[in-house]
Amino acid sequence: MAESPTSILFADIGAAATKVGLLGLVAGQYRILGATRTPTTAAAPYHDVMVGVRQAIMQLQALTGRRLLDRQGDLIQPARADGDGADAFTAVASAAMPLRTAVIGLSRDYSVTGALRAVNSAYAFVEHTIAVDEESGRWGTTAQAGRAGGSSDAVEKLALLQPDVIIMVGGTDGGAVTPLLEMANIVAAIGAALDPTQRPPIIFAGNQDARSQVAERIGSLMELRAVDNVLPALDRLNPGPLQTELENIYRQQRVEKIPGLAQLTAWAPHGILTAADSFTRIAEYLAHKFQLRVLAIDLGAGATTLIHADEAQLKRAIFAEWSVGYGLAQLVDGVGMEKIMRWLPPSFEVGPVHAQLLNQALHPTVTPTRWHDLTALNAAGRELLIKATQLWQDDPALTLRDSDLILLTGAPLAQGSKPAALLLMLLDALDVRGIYSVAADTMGLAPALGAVASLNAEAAAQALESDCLVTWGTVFVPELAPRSGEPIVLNVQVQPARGGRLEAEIKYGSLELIPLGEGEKAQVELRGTGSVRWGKNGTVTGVKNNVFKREVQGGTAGLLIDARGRPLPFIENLERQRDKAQEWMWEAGA
Amino acid sequence: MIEFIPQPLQTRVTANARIRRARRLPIPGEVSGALGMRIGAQDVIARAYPPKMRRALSLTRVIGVTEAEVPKRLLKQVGDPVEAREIIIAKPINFGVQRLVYRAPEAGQIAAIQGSWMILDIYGQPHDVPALYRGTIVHVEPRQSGEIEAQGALVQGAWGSSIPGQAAKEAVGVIKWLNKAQDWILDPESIEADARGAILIVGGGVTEASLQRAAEIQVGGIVVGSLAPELRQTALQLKFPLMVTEGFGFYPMSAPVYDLLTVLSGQEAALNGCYTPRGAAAARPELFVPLAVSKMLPSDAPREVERLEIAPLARVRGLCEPYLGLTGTLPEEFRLEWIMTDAGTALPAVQVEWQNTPGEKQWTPWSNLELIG
Repeated sequence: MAESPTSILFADIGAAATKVGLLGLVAGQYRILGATRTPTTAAAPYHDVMVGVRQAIMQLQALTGRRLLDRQGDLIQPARADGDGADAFTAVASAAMPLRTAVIGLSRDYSVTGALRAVNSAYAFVEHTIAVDEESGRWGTTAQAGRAGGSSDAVEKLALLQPDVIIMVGGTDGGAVTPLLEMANIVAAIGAALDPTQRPPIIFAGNQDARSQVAERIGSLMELRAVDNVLPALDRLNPGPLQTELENIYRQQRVEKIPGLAQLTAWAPHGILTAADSFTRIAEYLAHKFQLRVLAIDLGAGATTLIHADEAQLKRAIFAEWSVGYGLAQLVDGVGMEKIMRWLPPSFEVGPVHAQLLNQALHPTVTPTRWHDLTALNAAGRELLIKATQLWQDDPALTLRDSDLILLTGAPLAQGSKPAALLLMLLDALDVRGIYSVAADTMGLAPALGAVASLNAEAAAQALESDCLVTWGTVFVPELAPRSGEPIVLNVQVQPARGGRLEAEIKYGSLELIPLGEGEKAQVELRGTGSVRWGKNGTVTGVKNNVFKREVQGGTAGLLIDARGRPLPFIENLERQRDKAQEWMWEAGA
Repeated sequence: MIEFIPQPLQTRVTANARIRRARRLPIPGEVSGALGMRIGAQDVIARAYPPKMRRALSLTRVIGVTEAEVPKRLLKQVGDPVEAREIIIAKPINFGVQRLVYRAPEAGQIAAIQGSWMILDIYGQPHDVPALYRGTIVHVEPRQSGEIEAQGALVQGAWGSSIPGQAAKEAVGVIKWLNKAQDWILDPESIEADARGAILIVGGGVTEASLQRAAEIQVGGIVVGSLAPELRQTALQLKFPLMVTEGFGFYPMSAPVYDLLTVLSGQEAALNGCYTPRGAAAARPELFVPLAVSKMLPSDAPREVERLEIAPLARVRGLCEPYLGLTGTLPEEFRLEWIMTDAGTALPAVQVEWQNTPGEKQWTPWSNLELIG
């Protein structure tokens, strides 16, 4: 077996920014030797992502004093004895636009739900859905009492839409075939009506018994890809194979067509992963190595990715249209300014905040320099996260509430928001309860390290843990049912290992930030009143008789105790709610 | 000091650029131009025939037959044109005394029949793609697009009111200033009948009433310094193109844009409202004023550099507060240094002499600037 490369140059070509990092051995440990960032150059006037990649590498050369490109601008590979060059190169990309899909299926609650789950896990979004068991999904009106029937609005919309992919689902394996054959006729008719150059590929993920007959109807007209049924049995959804096929089409139709990617692929013989696939590997790695339930979040300029990984299962959601960058305008349109303003203190005015969000969408690489502007962006980030987690609402198997570690990467970190501000954003937007840690990928390189792992797993793991992940602290979110006359819900004692002791009483509805630095540990005791419960069923490691007692880790922010209750209490009056938001910020040190 | 200076973002605002623009049909059709042909802004370079409506019918349901029966009941076949009310499929009922029929709702063509399903395309108007850029056709992709090379003044915008995937918002018209104040806000009373078809230039902003008035008068388009964020949706619904040069909020048109558009007043221009911020079809809105033919360089002459390069005294524009819409210049000898922002972020920055504080240099994050010119 070939030796693993010891110096690896890696790139993450994002929708707005291109990041490049260099990883190598330092005193026997793999470390990130340097990292840089430039605007992505996929669009005019460059139309070539390699311009941005080379610019970032040239910055890296200046930073590290190590020559990585030769005079022709090609990568020096493998590394030379004098230290120039790198042994290997790998890259991930999220600069491409998401796939526009249409889903046609038999049942909204079963097969269509399975298909939507697959779409929501890929760089894709659904433009049109037809479920036959819904009024809007029926195939037109039927002849009656001597009068001819009429056309189908739902199919007509599909026929005019020209999506990038049509997904056909329906039936359980071994079930009835006939309804799927009619669906195949519909799709074939739509395809036949289009110019051959414009016919989208079809993914069939329905009853396997219908495959050959569906292929007979569609196969000669359009590219048909059959995958395992999203609903093999009524009590089992299987979105994985459909998701994989969508990712294949995304790579072929979108990623491989990013201008300049061919050159990048020549540098990276192992292929270019999507940023979401690569980041998923990181979440899986952390979940398995530390036996944690990990919620990993990438707030990118082009898409928002959520991954929930534990030792048993993996779930992913990609919000491909809304983001804290290019997708801010859609976010504002979708949720409305009032919802965003509820997170902002009274000193913020709606007009300037609205304008700022739209201007950030025009120039996502811009780094706001004022607290005011960053706070407004983080308010939008809260609404984005709330919306993104709703993609998982139909999945009863997934309980975000029980996460042990939240890992954040993406634009808000690159923009320089303070850890406490982003920690509060996460607490506000995500309904995660119990006791958990929060870590941040401050270099923005974690998504790309998933791809590095395929070249040298040990190097990726060491670099991730040593250089990328910064612990922000430990968060305590008890379940509260306040009784009248019981304003104090928690008594807290913190004994840092370095010495000293801190005691505090936590009032219902408040947040308390207790400083405990990065790398520091403390013995923490939280004594709850009768109304306090910890985690699902009141069971959290370290809790006995409603008293939590355990050693915990500090972080850049410290220990944050959130006694506001869940779901988060909102005041109906917007002005009063914004006063409350101000209080929360003060209490959390945001 | 930071040794390597990365290329920043940029906006072209120039009196003389040579550009190439592809003019693409939404669906395959006919490209009428030939290579080397000179073409006017309003000449049609390509035409397609999209259906006005696509009727999707289950033939088994509309007249109540089985799929196997469909072929023998059909009176029309794929590719056949049909007139309005013409019978497409029929079956005898009431012991053959009567027929149950499905008639074409409007004139069209049978686009497809697959099993029991039929797609009937209702004829629509031809979709013409005008050249928009007066110039020379330099590339043709049969049935898809023609590429035009043109020379003239170019002003790129920050945002345009075309919606990706929907009909392009474009206009050719005479550049008209109603008021040359850089921060003027367009009021409805100022828009008179002679503004019809013109491309209005407005330094400051617009109001909802002025946009409505502009729509009534049928102006060709509007180029404006900034747009109040709450008017974005209104602008998206307008039929004419609106190009914003600075951003959302209230920002007077920046000096380079204002100066060039002032010089171009009264000239015929093409306004393209496209705004696709990323992806393979990424495009910015722009206003283009073609040069007189006598002033054009021959096609084989060296092309003007399409990209602006970082240089001493280069003109820059701010992309976010507190510099949004301001222009400034880089020093004669400039360097990047790490600075700490008010928010506490360390960023590479450069000293810029901003227009509003002449003689004074301010450290400004490099990522928050673009080259302009």
